Amino acid sequence: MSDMIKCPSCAENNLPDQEFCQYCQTRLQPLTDPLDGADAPIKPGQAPTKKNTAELEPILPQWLRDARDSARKDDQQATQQNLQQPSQLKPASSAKDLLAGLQSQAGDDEEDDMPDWLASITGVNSKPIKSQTESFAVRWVELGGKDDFAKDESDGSSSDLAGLKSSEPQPDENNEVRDWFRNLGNPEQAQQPEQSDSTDSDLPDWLRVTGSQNEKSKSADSADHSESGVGEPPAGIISEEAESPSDSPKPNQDKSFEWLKSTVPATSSREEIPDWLSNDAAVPPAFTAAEDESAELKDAQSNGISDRLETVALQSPSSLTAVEDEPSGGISDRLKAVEFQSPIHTESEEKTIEPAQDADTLGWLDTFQAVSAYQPENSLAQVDFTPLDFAEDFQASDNMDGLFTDIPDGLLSTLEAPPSSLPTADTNSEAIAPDDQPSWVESMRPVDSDISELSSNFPADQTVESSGVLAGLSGVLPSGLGFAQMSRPKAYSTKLQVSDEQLAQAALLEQILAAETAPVPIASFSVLRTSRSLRWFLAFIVFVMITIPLFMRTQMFSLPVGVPMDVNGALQVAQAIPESAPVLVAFDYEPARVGEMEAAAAPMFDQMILLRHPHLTFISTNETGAILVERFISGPLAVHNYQSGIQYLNLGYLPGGQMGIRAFAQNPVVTSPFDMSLSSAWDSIPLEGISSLSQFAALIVVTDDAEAARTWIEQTESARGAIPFVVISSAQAAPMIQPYYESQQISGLVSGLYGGALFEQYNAGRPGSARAYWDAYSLGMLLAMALVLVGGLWNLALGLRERVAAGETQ
Amino acid sequence: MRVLTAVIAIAAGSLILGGYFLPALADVQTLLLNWAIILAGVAVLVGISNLISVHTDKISRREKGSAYSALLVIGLVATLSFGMILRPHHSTMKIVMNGIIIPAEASLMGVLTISLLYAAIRLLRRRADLMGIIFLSTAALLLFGSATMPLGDIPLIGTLLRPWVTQILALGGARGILIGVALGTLTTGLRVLFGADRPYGGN
Amino acid sequence: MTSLVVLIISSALLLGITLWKRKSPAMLREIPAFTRLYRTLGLSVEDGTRLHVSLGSGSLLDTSGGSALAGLAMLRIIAERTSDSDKPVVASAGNPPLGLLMQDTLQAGYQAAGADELYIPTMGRVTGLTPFGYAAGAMHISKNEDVSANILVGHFSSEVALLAEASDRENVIMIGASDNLTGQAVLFASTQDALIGEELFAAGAYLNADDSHTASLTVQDILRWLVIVALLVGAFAKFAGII
Repeated sequence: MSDMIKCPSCAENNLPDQEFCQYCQTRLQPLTDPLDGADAPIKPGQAPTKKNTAELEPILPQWLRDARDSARKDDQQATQQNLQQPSQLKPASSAKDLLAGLQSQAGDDEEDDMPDWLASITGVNSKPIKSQTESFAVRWVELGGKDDFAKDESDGSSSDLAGLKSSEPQPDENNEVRDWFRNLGNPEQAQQPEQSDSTDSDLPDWLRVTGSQNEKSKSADSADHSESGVGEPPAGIISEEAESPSDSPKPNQDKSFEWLKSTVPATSSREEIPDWLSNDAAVPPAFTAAEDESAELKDAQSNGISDRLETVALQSPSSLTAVEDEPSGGISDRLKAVEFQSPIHTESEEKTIEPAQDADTLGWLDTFQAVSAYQPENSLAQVDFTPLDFAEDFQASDNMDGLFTDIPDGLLSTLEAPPSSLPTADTNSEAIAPDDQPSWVESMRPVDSDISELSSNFPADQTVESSGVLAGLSGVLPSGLGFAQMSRPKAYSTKLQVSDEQLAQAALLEQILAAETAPVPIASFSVLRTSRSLRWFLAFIVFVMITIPLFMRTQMFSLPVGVPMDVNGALQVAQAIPESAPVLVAFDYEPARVGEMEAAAAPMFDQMILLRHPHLTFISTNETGAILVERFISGPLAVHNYQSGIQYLNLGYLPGGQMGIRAFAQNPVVTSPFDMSLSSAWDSIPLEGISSLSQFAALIVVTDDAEAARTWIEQTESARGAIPFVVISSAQAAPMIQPYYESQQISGLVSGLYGGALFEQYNAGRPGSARAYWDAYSLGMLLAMALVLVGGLWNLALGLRERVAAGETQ
Repeated sequence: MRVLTAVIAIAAGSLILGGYFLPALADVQTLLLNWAIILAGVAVLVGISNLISVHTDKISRREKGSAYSALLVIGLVATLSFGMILRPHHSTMKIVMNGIIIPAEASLMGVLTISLLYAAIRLLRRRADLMGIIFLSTAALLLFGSATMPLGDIPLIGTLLRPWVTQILALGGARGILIGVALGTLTTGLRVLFGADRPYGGN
Repeated sequence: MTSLVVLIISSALLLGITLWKRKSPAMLREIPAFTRLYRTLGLSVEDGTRLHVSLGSGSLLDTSGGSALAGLAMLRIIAERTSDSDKPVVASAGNPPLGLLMQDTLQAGYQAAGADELYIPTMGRVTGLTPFGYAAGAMHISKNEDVSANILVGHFSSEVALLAEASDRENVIMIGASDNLTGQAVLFASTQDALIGEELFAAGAYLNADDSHTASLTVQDILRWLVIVALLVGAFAKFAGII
């Protein structure tokens, strides 16, 4: 099976040694030997080899040399024109709206990871294209399939190809069509204007013969086409274009024009050139590339395309008949009919060209379809195969050398025939071989496009037309060798015409590629964005609601009633202290909480001082505690006028934290020998006769930290003996200290402003700090509760809504 | 060197720990604790010097906020100088304390109030689960129970529910958490004592 | 005597389980905060940002020293893991002795990673001597030092709300753990994932420090069960009038 050959006409498998198909008798083996070495056909993925054909230039016909010179001179000018019209001259590879992004994505992928059809689309080097349904053992003969040539309009591949036609290059394609038309029609028009007297005379004789021979050529043996040397493998052409759009024209030109170059010396007559060129070379590819037919035809009419040019396009006998029957105003219809021979058109367009799509469509025209519609399953691969790619690259003058290669024999005979004489049917049938035309026509198409641009500088013929549709008009036909440009290219719609199926396939392709290249989302941790406005709102409302009662000194809210057991214990300790007894006070709170702690501690100290005048000894395990003691004495207790060293003593900072407290409890004299003024502390009046912790009348710890209270309780437990122990704490630390009161490790507990307010009520309202703060405190608490509840519920609703929305999105 | 530091650390820790259980080691324990207290006092100076070096470095490199660093260094040096010369109980130091330190820290406490309110309000948006709802409900309940109304305590909530929550529910949970923390502290201390963790420079 | 028995049992368990864990790695339950922390380490290295590890204002000389030591252990791991980052870790503390150990730990971490040059003394900072002063100094680090995550492990009280506020304003990830109940409550309300209770001491095990960290978790679990049994038995005995 590995050596089986699939017939290009009937798609049947044949033995490898068979020269002709056993089913349809189509030639399977080319008459020429396989090309190898430098002449080997370029395969898909292979970079073209640049050939030096400069030595062949002297043998070129004069008109072609002039064209080449003009091309060289105007190359830069044409480039500037391209830059001035970027939208029209945008590279086709970058102009595919539907498949935009495929190129870039494919560029990052490895070749092996990519299917062949995808590689052809994206333009990267790919393996030789094979049909998925085709057996790997089957070897296609590079002649073009029979079915390919006789593409039916309903052929899916044809529609695919039409749909995949790039949108951006269309203006250029249309330019090529027009230029191509003009270049074909004008030479004879300029040289033999008298031939355009009537509709019939618009058709050159050879064209008529060609048209009549087309039916014969349709049934001609495909082996003849392979003999012509034009049998470029369509797949190869397409693949080359798809793989390297910028380089692809070279091999095509080299391969396609070598035969032409070799045959030109035999037809050096300048008058003979337009016939073959206008007849065979330019029309098919231009029609293949044309898209917007109605606009094109209108433009053609307005630009005065010659009748002869129109008839050149009409290769079908039926079309020719229509040309003859129609008046001059029917030019557009005929052009439509010809243009729509290309599979690249829409269904709506097909309806307007039914006469041209009859079964008697010329065989050579079918070959154009074959070229375009080759490889139906790989139709996407032809996206890059756009005329613009050829046109741009062909602007290089070196590529012009390829124009004179591989002229088919049939075409050569056409060149040799006098333009005024009717060519014989046999000659014409050989010259216009259906299978030969796709490749070289495809190769010729850029030539026309290029030359049309070059010829735009030629002066128009000022001859007044005396007959035909151009009667009475002057200067409408170019005078220079048939390359004059008649009008500026018209901009056409850049919409890509695709079917729903193609859209779906392209979308699927995009999805596949996007899935390949898209980063895999990683579950991330959500971050709730901050809300500065909420902060400012909270700050404002809290500030207002708290400062107003403070400054107005309102007393709307009643003080708490009742005396909890812990507060009652502290109250009893304060009242039970002996007169002028030494009391040790530990100040362990931060300056930030001085407001709360002073309001909580002041009532008890005020009552003690007021009732018992104790000698207070202060110590702190906090760096700022010593200064806070001074502030406390000179602040809430200022009315008692306690003097340092007499009624109170400040031992200052006790370093070491827990260890320092333990050391102080074991031996306070050694641990803290001096007071804040660096005087001997234990010789002063407040500490007179005191050398241990148990000699104090009471121990009071003022702290905002439960850990500090716990440390004092635990570390002094063995040293303090049975002296009363009272803790005055902040509200936040109270719950953790409460168990020590429950377990009777401490005698009393006063916590926060709440405890201070309770104590103050049993101190005749002295010093009044708790009462002053109480309204603001209560209002602030209620406000905070309301904000927390309302704001919490609101944010809960927002959070749930966001989660629902996120779930729906996913 | 690393071995030496490890040996010193493990030995000191073992002696102090043993002093709690063995009366014979009590004096050694006291001695080591006094050394530790002195070193802790010296470490405060080292910490202050670190604070100065960090901010002088920011000033020298003209980093963002270097003006505040300069203000910090100036204030620190001035306060230290005044305290050492005039003594902490001097009226100037009281002015510094009452005019700068206490207002600054009290302001931070005020900002903290807003921050905690903000966090509580946004809590259910961040974690809309049962624990969040319980947390917020408890906070609202305690806030409501801590306040009074013009006619007196809020009945039932202020007098019964709030103390029950704080002294039974919250305290029970807090005790459980603290026991876990204590166990963690115990094992962490043992790791240091065994030399498995060496936060004193050893690998 | 009870405390001595507990100490001996704990030591024996820790040593034995440490040796046993070397042969049998433990399975740890998932804690979201540690998952987040682990990912944060990688992210900071990848995006070239800095991590701020804050050890709080706990003293090494009192009961908060346990959390300070746990924070130091985590700092050591983080410094070692992020030694290939463009920006080294910045650490802060609110206690001077802790600040000294913090600098030493940073240096040791970089030395262990073979990146001694990354150690900069000013990357370990004592930002304040009081809790609020420390918080005020540390909250600006996340704003000015190109910090991508604040990792707070140590002794924090309510002042940790200021650090959470700063992280929230700068949209910086914050992972907090404190041995203080107030700090835990604030962290619970202010951060997405707060480490509650003894989870603070599990950081080393979850960051794959060494076997002793994993063993200490096992010891904690064993001791916890013992405490539970003791509490239940004591309550029953009290209820029954036995004790």
